[in-house]
Order: sequence, then structure tokens, then C-alpha cells
Amino acid sequence: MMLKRAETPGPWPRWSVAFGGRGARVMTSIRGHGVLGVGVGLAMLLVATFVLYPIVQTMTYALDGQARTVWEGLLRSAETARVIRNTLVIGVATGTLGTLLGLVMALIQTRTEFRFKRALHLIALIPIVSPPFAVAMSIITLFGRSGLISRRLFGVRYDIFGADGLILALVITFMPAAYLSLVGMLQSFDSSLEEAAADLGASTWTRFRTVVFPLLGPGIANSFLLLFVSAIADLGNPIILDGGYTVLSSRLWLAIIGESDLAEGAVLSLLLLVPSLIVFVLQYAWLRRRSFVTVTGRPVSRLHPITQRNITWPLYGVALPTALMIVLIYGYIVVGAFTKVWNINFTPSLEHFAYVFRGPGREAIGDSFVLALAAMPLAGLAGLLLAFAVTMRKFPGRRVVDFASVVGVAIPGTVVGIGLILAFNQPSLGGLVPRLTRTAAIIVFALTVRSLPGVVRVTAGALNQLGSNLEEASLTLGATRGRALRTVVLPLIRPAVFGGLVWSFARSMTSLSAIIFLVTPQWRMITNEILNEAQAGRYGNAAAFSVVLVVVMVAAMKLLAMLTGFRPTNQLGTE
Amino acid sequence: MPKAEGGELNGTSEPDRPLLEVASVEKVFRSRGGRTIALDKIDLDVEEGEFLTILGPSGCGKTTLLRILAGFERPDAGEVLLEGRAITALPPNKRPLAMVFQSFALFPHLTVFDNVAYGLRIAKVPKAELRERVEVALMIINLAGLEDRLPSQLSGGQQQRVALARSIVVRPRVLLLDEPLSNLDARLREQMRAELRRIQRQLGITSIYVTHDQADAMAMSDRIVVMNEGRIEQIGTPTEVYERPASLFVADFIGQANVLEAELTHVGDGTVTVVVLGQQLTIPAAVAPPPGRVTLVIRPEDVKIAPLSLDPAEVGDLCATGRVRSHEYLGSLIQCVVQLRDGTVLIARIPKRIGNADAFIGGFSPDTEVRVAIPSAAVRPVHPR
Repeated sequence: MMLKRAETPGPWPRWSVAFGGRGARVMTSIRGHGVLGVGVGLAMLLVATFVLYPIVQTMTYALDGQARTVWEGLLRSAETARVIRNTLVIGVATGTLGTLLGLVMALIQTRTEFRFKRALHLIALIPIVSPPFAVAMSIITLFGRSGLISRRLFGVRYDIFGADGLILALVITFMPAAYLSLVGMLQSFDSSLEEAAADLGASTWTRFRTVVFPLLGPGIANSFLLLFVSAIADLGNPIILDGGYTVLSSRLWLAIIGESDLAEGAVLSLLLLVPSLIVFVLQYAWLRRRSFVTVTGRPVSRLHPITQRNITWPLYGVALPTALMIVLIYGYIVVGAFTKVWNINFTPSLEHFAYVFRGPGREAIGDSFVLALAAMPLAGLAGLLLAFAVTMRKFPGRRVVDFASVVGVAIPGTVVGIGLILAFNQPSLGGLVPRLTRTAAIIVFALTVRSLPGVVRVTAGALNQLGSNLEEASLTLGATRGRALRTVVLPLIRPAVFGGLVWSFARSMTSLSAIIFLVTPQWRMITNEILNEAQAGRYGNAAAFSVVLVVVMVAAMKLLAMLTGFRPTNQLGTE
Repeated sequence: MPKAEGGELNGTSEPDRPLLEVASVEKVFRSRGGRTIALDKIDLDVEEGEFLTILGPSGCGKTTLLRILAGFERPDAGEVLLEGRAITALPPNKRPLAMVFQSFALFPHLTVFDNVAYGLRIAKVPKAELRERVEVALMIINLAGLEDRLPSQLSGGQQQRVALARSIVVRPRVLLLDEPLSNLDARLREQMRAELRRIQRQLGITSIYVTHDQADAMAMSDRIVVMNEGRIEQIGTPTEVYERPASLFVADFIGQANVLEAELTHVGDGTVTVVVLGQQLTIPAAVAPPPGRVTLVIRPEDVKIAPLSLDPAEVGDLCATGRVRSHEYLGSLIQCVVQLRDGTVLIARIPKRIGNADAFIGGFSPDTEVRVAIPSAAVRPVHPR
């Protein structure tokens, strides 16, 4: 197999659902599809109203004359420079360390004979289902001033708040994204390339240096960028852990929640949005074309695993402490949920769950389910229509639809939240849309557009596998378009449609940053309750909420995998 | 435009009108890079009951043409007529044609029976007749007994047969086949080739087969349409396109060809006289090329090699001397490369006969001077494109 551009760009998340797919795909024209056309139009309207319009509003607000004073204030204060520098530091650190750890874990998984591979794999995946704040709280109780490890084991009163704790939390949270994508790339790596290098006399290390790493280069770069963006957009960890090491997202949160300063919020949103959008466009337009990993679509012959200890032992030396850290952090959350006072009184107790299920927490759980279930059909239907149109039909503006349906992932949740407030805290669009803030509707729409890109990805994945020949075969045998859809296409993608619904639900349940500015005393969500409990120092209740969320997420992911074979790549995962 | 046998349109709409007519069909694909002319004024007639193969390299427009016939694409200009009626604007489901896909496109959620019955159910064929027709179709393709299997439980060859059965069971006026054998391994492919031809003959079903494989085309077709860059290069029977290629492209694409440049000096009745390798030669030519330089092609198996001692007149009409550069023993034949005095390189294929291989290889070792001879009947003037 010659080195060629991957036709299906491997397991790395594809931004473009339509254009990353098979090269010479022939598609049917959308002509004569009244219903589909209208549906796609409505889905686009949804995206335009609740993603693009709020962003435009935010920009207008941030670049407006009134915001001048904010800009001037920001430019003058030394704090701004510090916040931006802090943000870059945690972004770069998370990107670098997370990618490195992911790469080490991926190499062990694909290229060594490590005996507990399977266990290591499962451990590396745990953070995928991490609810917001849980990792941060666990890190504090493990390594903080009176932490289990720091204080009780080593007798140190360590101050974990700040850059160190924050970076630790972010690296652990986002590492699985790097790991999963690199495992996929290494698995589909054409071994004959390495065999050729070996044949020409290259040692294991030389092969990696001259063949494997250069070819993985784009994937590694992609992973770094993704982790960078995820880290700077993350809100939950900085709120709890930054300890004065303020980053853009926590500064933004403070501006809105603490100071109710929308103008500053808008300006900070813009600052946060720009790097995210740049990375998105980079990936959408450029990196996508530079994947040189060969994907042949059939199992690749296995290379001899690496057995040299001077290579494997350093790998284990990095991976095992990481795995231990993950187990410790997540294990301790469970401990916290089931004991009287997390990290202080270890008497087993169910009182936190009593709070969650019987006490005041019940309402938040109920609301979360109602809101997530309300967003589910909206996101599911819009996602199905967009995915179908983009993968199976050609029409003018298909690229625009493709772009619009996935651009949502690039926008940090806080920015979406502020945008929605700025756009809808008065009747908008010429009075066509009433004031939506402080209603359940705006939360539902926020959840819908936040989960939409994932739904499109899940559904488009199934449709891409389906190809267009089956529908055409049905047509040549005399079926009308409607009949072809009913008897062939829909039965085959039904699991993917359900998968999209499950995805939407799970994503909504764990959504934090987009809804944190939108929740009201009437409509609350679990994620926000976790924050409230954590801030009030009731870590046990927060841990119990987290455990409930994890159970819901794991169940949803299992269901999703069962329905579609789709494995989550933290890409669009939890916050 | 080279000659296209049988390509002229019948002016009258008499009963002997072709079953399917493609008239001046054009298709242009526009992309960011610009325009690609996929089909450039294609004219083609398909007769009732024939097996017509559209042959060409990838990107020559053959699949686009097939998709236009099936109704998946609309031509930018031109018409497609079935039994004299224009079907250009009909959607695929309104055309009495059926297609077999390269990927087989079996419905993975339906059993073999339901796959084959799919088209009949749409046509509302009564239950009893449906069952009988499906069973007969499965019998014809030797898959009786596998009705309840799912496509995933079948081998590649069996899936191929089901795909074929699903298409023939609806009794289409024309069966369209899009490289249906390309997903099969070489041995199975040969077997399916013969079977496909047998079924086509047995049912008398008009078939259009698209492929880039010249062996498929030669083995199965009544007629071959050779396409290149959106144009038809030649239409003819397998023997015609091989023995009388209309263009250099056809000569090169189907089999191997030696190419010689020559000067046309005289046009006779069904013959032309050319000067080639310094010799005057009169060769058969159905259509006279324009005067001036002409391109000649000679099949390697028509090139003879003889020792220098032999009298030129005894070995062939066109003679030259050269040196053996190399030879390869290919089992059934010996391929020998000879470089003539003027630098021209000719490839010769000598059929193996009992005992001749060792003698040949020994007698004509590399660098030996030899005499090369070609009978004038084997020399073809072609369109140089």
C-alpha cells in the first residue's frame, strides 16, 4: 500500500461530516425534495437563531461604542495581561501534557505486550464521563491543604489552588480525547511502512523518529490544538481550582455572576471566541487534508510488538502513575459520595444521596431530565435532517450547511450562554421572538444547539457507511424516493437516529458552561447544583450528584455503543 | 472522430430501430477547479438482446454515461431514448432498467428472498407469482436454498449472484452493470464472467456492462465501446477492436501495440501505401487516413524474428534488422525486445511450441543481430490521438 492521503480520515473526529468522507461519492440532487428542503431550512434556522445570531450580538456588543470603556479598562489593567497569560499557560500546558500522556498510553496499547492493557485502556477512558467540578473537588481533597495524600500521607500542607492544580485537573479531564484519537491512528497505521524502514536497517527508535512520528504529526498537532481549545474553554475546573490564578473563562464567569457586567462579559467572550474559532477553521480547512495515515479499511498486519526494555519501561513509567492518578481521583469521588464528610469523616453514609434524591436535589434532577428530554427530539430531528442532507444530497450551499451544523463545537459554552442572554433578554428579531431569558425555552434551545454537532456526527457516521448505492438500487427497482427512504434508508439508520437522541440527552445532562448563566430558581440543572454545593463546602452532596451523573452517562454511552457502535471520542464530550 | 461502426443513427423509426439510443449526450462537471467534460457528444445505439461493454480507463466517462442511462444524473444536453421514446427526464424508478452495482448494494436488513423480491413487491406482483419468480431467479443463479440468509452471511460471489438476481427478476428492458466483477478475486471473476454471459444469453436480456478490464470486455461482449476522455474512440466486436483498432489509444488500451511512424504516399481501393522504415508497403485500410504522417500499429504476436542468414523475402513483407535487447520467458510465450538500427524498439511475442523455448533463448541471446519481419496484413494505420 502506497502512502496516500487517507480517504476516510481515520478515527480522528471529523469536523466536516460530508467532505471528509469518501472521495468520489456521487450524490443525488436535492431537487424535488420539498419536505427535506423545508426541514433542512428549519434546522438551519435553528442554528442561525441560537448559534450565529447570539454570536453576532456578542460581537456587536463587544465592538460597540459603549464597550470602549471596557476595552480601555482592560488594556490599562495589568490584570488583563495576567489573565491572558494564565489562559495561554494552562492551554499550552494541557495541550502538551495531555497529548504526551495520550501518546504514551496509545503506544502501550497498540505497540507493546503490556499485560494489563485492557485495564489500562478502561482507566484511560474513565475521564470521558467526568461531570464538571468532580475532578477539581477530588484533587482538592487529595492534594490540598488537608488532603489525603498531601497531609495525611506526607504531612505537607500543600496549596493546590492555582496553576498546578488546574493543569492537573484539565490534563486528566481531557487526556482521553488525545488517547482515543492516537490509538485509532496507530491502529490503522500501515505496518508495511515501518517494515520497509526496518528492512532498510532502521532500529525501533529510528523507525519511530523517521517514519511513525512524522506521519502522526498532523494527528499530534490536531490533538494539541483540540486540548488547547478545550482547556481554555473549560469553566468548571477554574471556578473551583484557580485560587486567584484567574483565566479568561473564570474571569468571564465572575464578570457575569459577580459583577453583572454584560459589556465586560461580551468583550471577554470575544477574546475567548477568537482562538477557538481560529483552531476550528484550521482543523476544518487545513489539518483535515493533511492526514497521511493510511486507512485501508481492512485489518492491518501486526508488527512485532516492542519488547526492548529501554523503550517500554519509560513508557510504563509515565503511564502507570497517570493511571494510578485517574483511579485515585475518580475513586475518591465515589468515596466522598458514600461517606459522612468527604475526606474527614469516613463513616459510610447515604445521607448525600438522600439529599440528592429526597431533599432539595430532587427538583434539580427532575428539571435536568425534563430539560434534557425536551431538547432531545429537537436536536435529534434537526441533526438527522442536516446529516442526511449533507451526506446524501447535493445542493447549492451544502458546504455552508455542513459548516453551520458543526461550527457549534468550536464555540466555548460560556460564550454561547452570554450570547443567548445578549440576544434574547429583550424581544428580538423585530419582536418576532419574545424575551426568552429566565424561561425554560432558552435553556432547551441552548441544550439543543450544544448537542447538535454531536448528533450530526453520530448520524452522519451511519449515513456515510450506508453510502448512496442502496438508495439508488431501490430506485432502479422502481421504488419512489419516499418508498426508498421508508423501506431502505430509515430501517438501516434507525440505530443511528436513536444514538443521536441518546447522545443529545447525555450531552445535555452534563452541560454546564452554556447553561450556567441561564438557569433560574425555577429551572435548575444538576451541574449547576454541583457548583452550588461545592461552593457552599458541601462536597459530599456534590460528589453524590456527580455519581448520579456518571451513572446516567455510562448508561447512555453503553446504549449508544450498543445502538450504533459509536465510541465517544471526548471531542464533543463532557465539559 | 474515428469511424464508429454501427454508430450512425437510423433516420427512420422502422421496427428495426435500436432498443436504446443515446443521442448527443453531454455532461460537464463543475468544481472549484473548473470544468471537466465528462461526456462529449456521445452517440450510441444498443440493439435488443446484445451484450454491450463500455470499456475505458477510470475517469473516461463510462460510469457517468451509465448513471445517465439509469437516471441518477441528467445530461446537460442530448437525449436518451428507449424504444424510440425519450426517457431523459424520467426519474430512475420510472425507467424499466435495473442496475447491478459495483458494491452489490444488497439491502443488509433484508434476507436474500426479500432482496430479490424487493422490485416485484414495488410492482405489486401477486404473491404466488412473486414467490415463483424469485425462486426461478435464484435457481438461475444457482442460489436456491439460501432464501433466508442475510447478505452478511454470504460469500462475495454469492452476494454478487443475489445482486444479479434482484435485477433480472424484474425483467428490465435493459440490465446495467457497473463493474460488478471488480470486487471478486481473479478465479471467481473468471467463473462469474462465464456465468454472467450464460445467464444473459439464456434470458436474452439486453445488457450494458461498464468496466476498465479489457479481459472482461473481450470475453463477454457482443460489442465493445471504447471510451477515453469523455469520447467514444471505437465501437466494434472484440475482434474488430483488437485487430483493427481505430486509434492509437484503442490499440494501446486493448492489448499491447508496437507503434511506428510512417509517410502516406498513395491511397488505393481499400488499401494505402506508406513508407515505413525506409520501405514502401501497401497495407489494408478500410478508411484512408489523411495524407502526410500516419501512425502504424503492429501487435507483438505479428512480429517475427529470424536469424540474419534467412532471406528477407521469405520471412515477411516489412523487414528490418536489429539487435536483441532482452527476452522474457512467460510460459505460454516468449517476449523479445529488439532494437532496430534506427533506434526503434519493437516487441515480439513468439508462441511457445514444444522444445522451441530453449532453442530460441539460446539462439537469440541478447545482443545477437536478428532479422525482424512483419506481414503487411498485420500493419494497421490508426488515428494518432
